[in-house]
Amino acid sequence: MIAMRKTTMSARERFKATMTFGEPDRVFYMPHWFWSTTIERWHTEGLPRDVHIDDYFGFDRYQVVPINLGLLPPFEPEIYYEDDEYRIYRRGDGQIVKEFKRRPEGSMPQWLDYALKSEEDWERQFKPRLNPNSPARYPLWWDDYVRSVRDRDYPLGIHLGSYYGWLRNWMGVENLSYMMYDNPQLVEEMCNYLADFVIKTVERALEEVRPDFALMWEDMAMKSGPLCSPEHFRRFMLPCYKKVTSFARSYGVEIVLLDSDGHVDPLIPLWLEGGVTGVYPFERAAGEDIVALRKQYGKKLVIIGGVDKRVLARNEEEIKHHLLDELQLPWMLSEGGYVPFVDHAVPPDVPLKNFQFYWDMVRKIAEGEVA
Amino acid sequence: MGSRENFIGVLRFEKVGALSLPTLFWQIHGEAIRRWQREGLPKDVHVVEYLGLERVELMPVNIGTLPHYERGRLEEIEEWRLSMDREFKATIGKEIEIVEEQPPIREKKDWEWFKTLLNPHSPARYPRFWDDYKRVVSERTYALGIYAGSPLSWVAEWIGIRGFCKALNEDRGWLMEMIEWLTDFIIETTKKALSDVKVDFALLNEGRAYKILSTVGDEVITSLTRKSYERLIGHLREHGVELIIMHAIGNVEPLLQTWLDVGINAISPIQVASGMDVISLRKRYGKSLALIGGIDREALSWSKRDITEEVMHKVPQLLDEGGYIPAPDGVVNANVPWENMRYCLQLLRSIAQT
Repeated sequence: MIAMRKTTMSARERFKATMTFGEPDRVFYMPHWFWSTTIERWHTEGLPRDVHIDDYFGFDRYQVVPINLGLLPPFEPEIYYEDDEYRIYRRGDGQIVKEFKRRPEGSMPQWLDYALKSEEDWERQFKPRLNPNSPARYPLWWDDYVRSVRDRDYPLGIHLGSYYGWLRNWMGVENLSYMMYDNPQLVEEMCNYLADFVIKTVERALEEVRPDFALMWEDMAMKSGPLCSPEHFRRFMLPCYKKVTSFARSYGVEIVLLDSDGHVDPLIPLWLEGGVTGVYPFERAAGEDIVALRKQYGKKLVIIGGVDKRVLARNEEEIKHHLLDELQLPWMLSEGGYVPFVDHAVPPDVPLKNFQFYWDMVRKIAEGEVA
Repeated sequence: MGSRENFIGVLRFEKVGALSLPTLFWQIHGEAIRRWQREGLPKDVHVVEYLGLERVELMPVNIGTLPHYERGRLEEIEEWRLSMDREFKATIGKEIEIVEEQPPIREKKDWEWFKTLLNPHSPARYPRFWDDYKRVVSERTYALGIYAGSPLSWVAEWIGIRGFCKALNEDRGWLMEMIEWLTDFIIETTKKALSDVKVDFALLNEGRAYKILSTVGDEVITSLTRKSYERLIGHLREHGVELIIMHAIGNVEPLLQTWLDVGINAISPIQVASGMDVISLRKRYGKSLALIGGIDREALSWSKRDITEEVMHKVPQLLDEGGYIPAPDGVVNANVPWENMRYCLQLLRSIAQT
């Protein structure tokens, strides 16, 4: 267990100060993402098996209001084919995928088909599953939940949905890309419906629990750039962003963090225009350079991530070089609005001792033990 | 009266205003829910909320083996899967039944190793934010209990029934030692929880009591467990827990007097198929034993007339006398039609209102 220096702020105060370029007692230690296979490996390398991992590394607490914004009910899972090696099945979001039966999380599936292909699919198969008034969107015993988070000392977030990522998941990149040209009215209608759906769904939670921040998810870029053009984003998605973030802001939610992998640089100005205040996880392998982004955007953009997971698999010297020289961690932290975070889930080629070295170094810099 | 007071009041034989239908004792199999959805249950609701069940929970304190073990798949063909679960039981079937065992403890040295999985001080035994959990439940409106384990059944599970019988003949002291060690483990693990949170009840579970009982007899069980129960219940009482529920599968009637003697004051689920009967239990034990369950879950799969007969034969009298929570005598399975489930609950509510 990592010994932590005494702090003077609650996690909630620290989070808000970090995400608004304020003066936290130290930077917010964001819980990292790990593949289950990474944890399995680390158990063989000395990580105790009977601990809470986030506690073990001393990460701060944050939580998200458990509202279900997904398809409800989901599509019935159905297996179409399986043999010793793989299976073809339908997922809850309607995707038909082929994936390895053993450790499916260790590789990407092959996407074979999608449920949303036409206006009729949208009307008959999707809109009925996007009813904001479905009782199960909110957790059981909601009133009790509201009471439980009232005097919290940790930051509480709320999801504000996805306006490219969901459609891409339901249609596929190719189909969605064609539809932006072939039937742009439908894309517009779907995006608008989603924004209204999200607003109607989260309104009660915004009113009753007053979250501290909002999350959005897109995963809408590949290694070389976005999956849709900035022009299309501006036309179809940006109005939705403005609508949902201004709605959340009317309930005091000023911090809006967006999750997207890939090379997202061309989209950042649009996201900021849409009310997003921070982005993560800034994949180094996709050419993301957090130092350049800080210089470019200054205090307009909170940066979370940018630590190259591939470097963590190497050795202490290279990790040190990466943190100090490439990421200029002391400078990034002194500028504020930066949260050290690996640029996606830590993969199983990272030894425990390397991760510990990385995290120890981050802590020492953040807590002033290393100049 | 809130659901917390209602639940506690019923089991204390107090006159309460409302019928208590607690989630903890109305367990529903996932397949049943899928069937009901095909038969009219909306797919976008919380089933327990839709059915109007009341929240009753156990504290999330983990007194199982820790770390857990991944399931290891041994063999799989179309209809069944043979796998090794986290507690080493080899299970057959794709979710439903345990058929055969490969117990992890076959000799004494295994037990020494096995004990390393039972460290009462493992941090992950408690929720990560325990102080916050304490704060949240201190103002609860629902009944909260603590799971206090099942030393006898655990031993039987981990060494297997055959191993249990062998040890009984050859080394009874070892069985006693394991049961006592587990009792210490439960006491040590739950100490903090009981000190920090005022719980409303404790739940003991002897999931294998009937199997052991039918194999070795009640006197043997009593001699093995009496001291353990006394210590465990003493520990619970020291922390203000008066309501102690034994959840035991099978016909455990021969054990009831011992359980009453050591301080257990409620029993569930009272399995009809194994010959248990709530009416005769009430006659025999009166107000010394509160009853939870006893409605034949198989009857729920028959006709409305059968359900009426089953419910009316037992429930009005027991509700009138108090100390009774009507519930099925096991998990509600997929052979129960949606219409029957609704009818049963409707019937129970109408009885409670009259």
